[in-house]
Amino acid sequence: MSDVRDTFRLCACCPSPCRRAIPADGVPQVETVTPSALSMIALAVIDGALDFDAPVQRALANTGAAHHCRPACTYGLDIAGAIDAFVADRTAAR
Amino acid sequence: MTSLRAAAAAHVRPAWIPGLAAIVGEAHVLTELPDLWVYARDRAPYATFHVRHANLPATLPCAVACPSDAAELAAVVRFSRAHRIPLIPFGAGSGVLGGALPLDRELMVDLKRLNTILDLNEVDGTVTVQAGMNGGQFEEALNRRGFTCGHLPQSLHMSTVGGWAACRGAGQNSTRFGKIEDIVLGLAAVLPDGRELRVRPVARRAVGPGIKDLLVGSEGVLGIITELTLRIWRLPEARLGVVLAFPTLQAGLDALRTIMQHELRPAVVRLYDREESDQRTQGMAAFAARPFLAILEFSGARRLAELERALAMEIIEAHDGAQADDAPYRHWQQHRYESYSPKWQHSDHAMDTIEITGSWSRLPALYERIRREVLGVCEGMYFGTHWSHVYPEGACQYMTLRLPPMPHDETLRLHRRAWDLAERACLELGGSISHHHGAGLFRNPWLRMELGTGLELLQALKDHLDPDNLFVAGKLGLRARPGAVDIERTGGAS
Repeated sequence: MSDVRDTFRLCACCPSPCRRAIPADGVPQVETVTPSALSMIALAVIDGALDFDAPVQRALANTGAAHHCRPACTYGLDIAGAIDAFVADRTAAR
Repeated sequence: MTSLRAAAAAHVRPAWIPGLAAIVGEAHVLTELPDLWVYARDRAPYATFHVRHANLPATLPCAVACPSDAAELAAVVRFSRAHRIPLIPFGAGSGVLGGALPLDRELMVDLKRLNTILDLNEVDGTVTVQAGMNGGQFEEALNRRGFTCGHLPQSLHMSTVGGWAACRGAGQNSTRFGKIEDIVLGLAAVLPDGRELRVRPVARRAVGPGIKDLLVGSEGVLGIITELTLRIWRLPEARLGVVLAFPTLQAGLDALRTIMQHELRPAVVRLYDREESDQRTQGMAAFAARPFLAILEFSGARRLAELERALAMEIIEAHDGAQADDAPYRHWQQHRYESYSPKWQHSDHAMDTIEITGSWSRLPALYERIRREVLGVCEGMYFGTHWSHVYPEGACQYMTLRLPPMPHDETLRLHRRAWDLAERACLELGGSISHHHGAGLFRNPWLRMELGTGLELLQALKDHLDPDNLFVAGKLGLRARPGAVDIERTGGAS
């Protein structure tokens, strides 16, 4: 979990220049769908500050916008993919 | 400080949410805890230090509303006033002074749905754009039409156009094109009572003080900018970069001053202190005897840019400067929109930047004093500086601090101590405490010394426009709401 946590922590604290790749329509224009915000939520789950409950699952399921950001990540990260995998792992473990 | 878990346990969904949903639509009101968590911070390093520990920088917001246009926004504002709901406009949350941090469970009003270019007038050289448009997308759209805004901040891709104006920002080409206050020709905004304020875009006017300047730099305390008309320029035929080596910092400063006072118009001017020069010039022979790096760029019509570069080189050589290989220029170009250091974030260092304005006659003393005092804050402190955004009268001094890993409370205390030393030195040596990041929350302690009686004028205006103190209360040195979080008390102030 440490590598995953490090990835989410790096992204959660990043100022999010990849957000320019989010289309101006067709996806929700809200902060929560940005890779950095998804990472911030996942990090809080890993650290025990948020439960992996229905609201968190709804937020983390919304990776459509973040998938657009993958080519724009300065650090070559696939945060949307990492979030999808994180959700799958957590769901399987329940 | 409050943990996210403790705040979540105390969170109560407001009873007025259906009324808000009736205005913007149920899908455009966010009330779930994960949403509130991500709107509880902006990019103030102070906030990041807290988020790293799953602590709230201040409070959770009570909800988030996402209006689709200015009319819906005005309705949200009228609703907030009717129900006495404090609010904060939110673009991309890229501010670094805590201006968008909720302090009293405010309603966050996300402007990102207002993201369209409304008009591009190629004859007048103007563009009218909604405030929530992403800066990178905006500049790309202009480039496709053969234009540039000339406002290219490091935060270009992570900020909104409205945010540039709200915090009175500067781009990396400001020496040529001006700060955003020089680029904004007109605007529309929603005032705290829901009325529209519209400043029609014209080249100049002489009808009293500039009303647009009440909004440009207001950080939302006097109204929410919904639309801006900006000056634009044809994409330049040529961009000519020059890398320079100077024997001393003073020689570099003198050369830049002379270039500006000789009315040359470089698009980019950057001079680095020894600390920052060394990082960028390792192994370059030209810097062995002249260790101070500067980068200049001239742009526009090729013949004119070449002439300006030639004239600048005469001045540079008169100050014992020499041209070097352009590798540092190419590196800067490649990374000019990056501001993040994963290495230091990963190792729990605490990074921040402070940008101030000083006059040429005071900059050397300002630099030496702040450097000495900040390095004395703790062992292992990093301090580096560059000068950019250059004017005939002075320049922006942009300082980077980095505290080594230490207990969280101590980080907050020493971080605040470093800020206090820098801002006080700036004021005592006649500078301005902010060149382009704005004031937000974090600069509150020094606003009185910065503005003097001017702060009373701002407060009087605020009290008149926003008698219930609902708009971005407690920021820009203005009165906070009773019961709001006071980071000077809870955040580790020295």
